[in-house]
Amino acid sequence: MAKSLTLVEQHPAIWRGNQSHSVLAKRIPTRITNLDAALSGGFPEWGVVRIRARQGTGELSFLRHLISQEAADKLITFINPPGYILAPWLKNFGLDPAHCWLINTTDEFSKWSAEESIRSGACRCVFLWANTLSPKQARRLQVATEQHHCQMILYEELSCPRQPLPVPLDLSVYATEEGLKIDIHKQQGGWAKEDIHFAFSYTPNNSEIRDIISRYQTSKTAVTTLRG
Amino acid sequence: MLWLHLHFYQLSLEHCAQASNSDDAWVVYHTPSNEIKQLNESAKKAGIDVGMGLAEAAALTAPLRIIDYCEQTERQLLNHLACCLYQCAAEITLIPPHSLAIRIDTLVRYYEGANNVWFSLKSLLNELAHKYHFASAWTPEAAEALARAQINTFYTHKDDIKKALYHLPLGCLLLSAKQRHALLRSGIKQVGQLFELSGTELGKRFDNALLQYLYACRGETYPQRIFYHPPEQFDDRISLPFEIENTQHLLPYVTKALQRMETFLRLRNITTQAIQLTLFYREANATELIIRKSTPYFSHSEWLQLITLKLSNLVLSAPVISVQFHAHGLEEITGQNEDFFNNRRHIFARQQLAGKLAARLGENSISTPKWPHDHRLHPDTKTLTHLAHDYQDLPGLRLKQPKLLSGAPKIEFGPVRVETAWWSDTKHKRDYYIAKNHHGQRMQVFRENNQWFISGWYL
Repeated sequence: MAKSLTLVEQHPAIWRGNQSHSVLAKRIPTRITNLDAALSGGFPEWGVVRIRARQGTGELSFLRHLISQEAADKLITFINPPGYILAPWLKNFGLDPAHCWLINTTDEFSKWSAEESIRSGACRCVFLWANTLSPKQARRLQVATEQHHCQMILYEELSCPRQPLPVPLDLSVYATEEGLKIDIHKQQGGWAKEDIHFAFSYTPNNSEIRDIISRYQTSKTAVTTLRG
Repeated sequence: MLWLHLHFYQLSLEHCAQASNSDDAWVVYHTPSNEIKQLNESAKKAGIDVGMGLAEAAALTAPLRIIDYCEQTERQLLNHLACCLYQCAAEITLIPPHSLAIRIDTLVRYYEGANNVWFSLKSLLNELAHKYHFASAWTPEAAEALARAQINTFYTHKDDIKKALYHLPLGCLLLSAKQRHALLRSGIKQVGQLFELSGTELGKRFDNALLQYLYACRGETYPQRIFYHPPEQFDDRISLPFEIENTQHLLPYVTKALQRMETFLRLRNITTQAIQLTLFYREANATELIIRKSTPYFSHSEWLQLITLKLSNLVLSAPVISVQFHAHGLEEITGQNEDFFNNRRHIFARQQLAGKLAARLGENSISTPKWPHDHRLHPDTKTLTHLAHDYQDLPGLRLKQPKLLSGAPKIEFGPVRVETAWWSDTKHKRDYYIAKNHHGQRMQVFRENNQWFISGWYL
């Protein structure tokens, strides 16, 4: 029994839940304390990460620190985003638009483009919007990312049913009142964890103006009561 | 064999930094022949054409800006271009003053297809922002004839080449006026008719040189070509289109030269510790500046910072007519610096990826993020980088068409009023808001005709 177990343990694709992280890919911190703790240090340096989220919940903005990393002269490709991505936004986000490519194609070709981008060795990160990735395709992409040290983020709509995929990190992102809530469904070298809450704001809001107005109104009422 | 011919028809114009971004009419003028050689879009709109005299052109438009045509400069620029294209292709022949021929068939194995080679070259040329006419054929001569007719098609099949070549008018071949006249008189107007004639018949009437040229065009003989060989040292002399009195105006030319230097050094795995910059004046003695760095480096942005600093202190004693760059103390990179090797792969990898994607998905599928032309934020190719500062509230994703809003989201930010396009028929006046729905999705919304629309999402 013990002997057969050691045989299994030698297999490179099998690991123990409490295995030291040094064997696994290096982690890149997201600079979000709760999340980094749950992910034992951050996102893996390369590999496929599936993020299931509704559009417009900050599903890309919370990766800001992760993406605007070194090796800035390597490419970032956005495959089949559901609209235009404009250069000023990328610049505000901390990326150089000259090193970003947008690829718009059919669903079938989007996966091929993702694999080619990874295999070229010219990309450091590939973003793919696709809802119909099969486990086989996911595995192909995962192998390619490991070989070419590339990161790939796969965005999937929350509304489509969740299929298990052989990827090292699988997340769902939900917006909450004060920020985001993340469920880790699966991660390599760690345990699944649900309900990771953290405060996060990435868009401007009117709160400052509202504050001023309310302060002005109270002072006005004070004046009228004084006069009265 | 498959050769690609590239004819760069406005090298001098593109070399002049002011001319490329200007709304004025710019022309490149050749004094000895009183001929306009190159012109920009505005000049074309004003009705000016290549081959016109200066008086005629000046009569057509009021502020006409003129650059002197200099064959030496064109040759230099062509050399720079060949040096850049050498990243992608090995066998390049220069056809001075403004054409290049590149042998494609030997590259096919490396790029996995002739079309991939072409798309890689094309993406590189787009980056360099040059305009050109091109064509491919079995020999450089045939490709040149097709490019002269501005066919602008990349042929890979022999039948297509033959068809295109046979339909060319005689004027596209490099014949002397006398030869052309003689052929026209005997009723030969198209290249196809000429090709059908037997060699012995033509040999009775024309000289050997013409026969050899025709055989080469037909793809029956392959005359020897001398291939371009890149220099071992980086030594670049740039003649300026104008005499420049202000160091600020030198910077665009300096930047281009430094970018070339970066590619040059990276491809050879070397770095430099010092750059010698020599400024030449018409009469006074040249000024030599040496810019050093403590650690050897190749990146153009770092060198540019140093040179900008150096130039800002410099007062020019006389207008500069040309600039020379020389990279001193070239050093091989040692194994300690691994990053350098990582970087080196990208130059080729990116071109190859661009080629592959364009070949399979079509060129329109791949784009770089665009800077919007004005505040309506339609993606446009014109570069207006200053807009970045105004848009802190820009959505990450802009829908191609605004979508009708359903549900009742809460407004979080706004309004931001955008009122523009007063110059066109469709005025644009919108108040944009950031709204959040019950799922926590943030979107950019606006109201028009009493209806709310979503214009983008905050990713």
